[in-house]
Amino acid sequence: MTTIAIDRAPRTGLPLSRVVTVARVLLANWPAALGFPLGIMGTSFAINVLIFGAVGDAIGNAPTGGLGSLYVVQLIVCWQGLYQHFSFAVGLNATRRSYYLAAVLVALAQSLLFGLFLYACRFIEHATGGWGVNLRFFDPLPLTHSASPVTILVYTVPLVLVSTAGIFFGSVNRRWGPMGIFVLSVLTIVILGGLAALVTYLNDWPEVGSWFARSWLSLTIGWSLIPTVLAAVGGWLVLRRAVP
Amino acid sequence: MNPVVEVRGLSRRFGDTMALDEVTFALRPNVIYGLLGRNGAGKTTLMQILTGQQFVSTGTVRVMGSAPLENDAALAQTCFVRENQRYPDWFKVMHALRAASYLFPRWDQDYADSLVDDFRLPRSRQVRKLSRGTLSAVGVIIGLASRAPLTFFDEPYLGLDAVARQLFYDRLLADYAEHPRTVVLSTHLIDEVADLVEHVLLLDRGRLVLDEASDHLRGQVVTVTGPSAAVQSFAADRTELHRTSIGPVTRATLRGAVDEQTKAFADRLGLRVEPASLQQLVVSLTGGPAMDHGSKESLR
Repeated sequence: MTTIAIDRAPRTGLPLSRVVTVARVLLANWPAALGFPLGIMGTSFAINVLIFGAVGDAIGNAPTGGLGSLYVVQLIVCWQGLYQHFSFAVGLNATRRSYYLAAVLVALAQSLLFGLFLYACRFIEHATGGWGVNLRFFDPLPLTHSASPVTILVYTVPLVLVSTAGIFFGSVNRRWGPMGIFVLSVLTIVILGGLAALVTYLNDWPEVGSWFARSWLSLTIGWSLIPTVLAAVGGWLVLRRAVP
Repeated sequence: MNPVVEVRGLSRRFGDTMALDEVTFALRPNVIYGLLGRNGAGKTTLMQILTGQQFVSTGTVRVMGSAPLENDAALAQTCFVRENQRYPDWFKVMHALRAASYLFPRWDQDYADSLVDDFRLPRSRQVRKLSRGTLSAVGVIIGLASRAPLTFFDEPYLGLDAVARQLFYDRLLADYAEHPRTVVLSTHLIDEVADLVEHVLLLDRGRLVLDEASDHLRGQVVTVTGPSAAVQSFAADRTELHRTSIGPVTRATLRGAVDEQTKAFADRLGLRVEPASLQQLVVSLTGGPAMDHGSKESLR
């Protein structure tokens, strides 16, 4: 007979190993976690290749917005991932804190992995004359023209932003259900609409436009970190009182 | 031996409702507890608090000697399998088991594999496509194979057929004998677990109304059945827990052991005296008007 020893468990700081353990739980079906965003983007890519192949030179070397699908899907995956894994992992025995840190860790790793993948695809796109059909799928913006490794950040940092936004939405969804998402949507519309109204009222659109044009790079890989951090911290403040 | 769980003056209020009201008890290591009570008695809330999932209004809770809330070291030694255990939509059975194997330091993969075979679980089927009973089996397997020193089962076998439930009881007992641990089993199928649980905790409207060893309970409560007047006379100087009547026949549940002399007295009155089952005891202690129907059924 083997008695299961009970370790006395004093309250300790956060064991990093537990965060890694929970991160493995989130990736128990990792092909789905990674494959879903890439699969949707791949579909968008394939359709673009077919269209550009069919149209030939008629539309020249025009960029497409198909890459945006990866960012949209990443937001949804992080939202649903946080929402659904919470009941499973915290429901069985994970702490909210370990769970949340694991979710952020996985999102960061995924974003970096996707960023590197997009950077590699960008090189292939250039080397193959736009996949043989003059397609600009992975290099749709002036910011992505550069071959410098900074371009990895141009891909990755916005992915981190949409991931943390997804984590924030997932946290709100988990804590307050559909009503939370409804209120959040209304608040978002009010805040963004209010800002737009303010700029219109001050007749500042040309200035705002030129500021955006001047600051694309710093906006993308610098200023975007502010909403990223706000979403990550906000998500934790919401989820720390959620019940599985 | 130090208790695994210590709860003192625990209350949890949801708005106007007291889900738990000044509950105090301790759980000893290596005992199978039955946590019983009617729907809404506070059983799930109590288990959620003990596993750090729910918040305390007042009182103190210690699990493995420290507060469980956000305590990784303490919670890693617990496992909570609930009736409506949720799984991510993209998990197959094998993913759920793999994820669980990461969460529980004492997970036994060989044992989990044998349980999957015993319960005839389809490893590569998506969890969301499983039938209610098969879904319950996934939770049961996780709870057993976790070998967590403190394991909670909250109505774990909704939809499981009688054969699978018996399999669960058999496997639990056999594994418990090999690897003793503290198990808290919350269920409404009281008769089924009566021989399994060593200690009973009974909640009624948030209050702990019973905290006793099963062996001790068995002799302490009897049911007396017979003509109403005779039952009335027999019960006169005893603590009556519950009474139901159908026509001229009355059945009363009475507290206190019955010796040979009293038994002879009952015989003379034409009464049948039997030790109360655990289920009868629970009905007696917690049954309001809504339970009378069930009591009458069991009289027939």
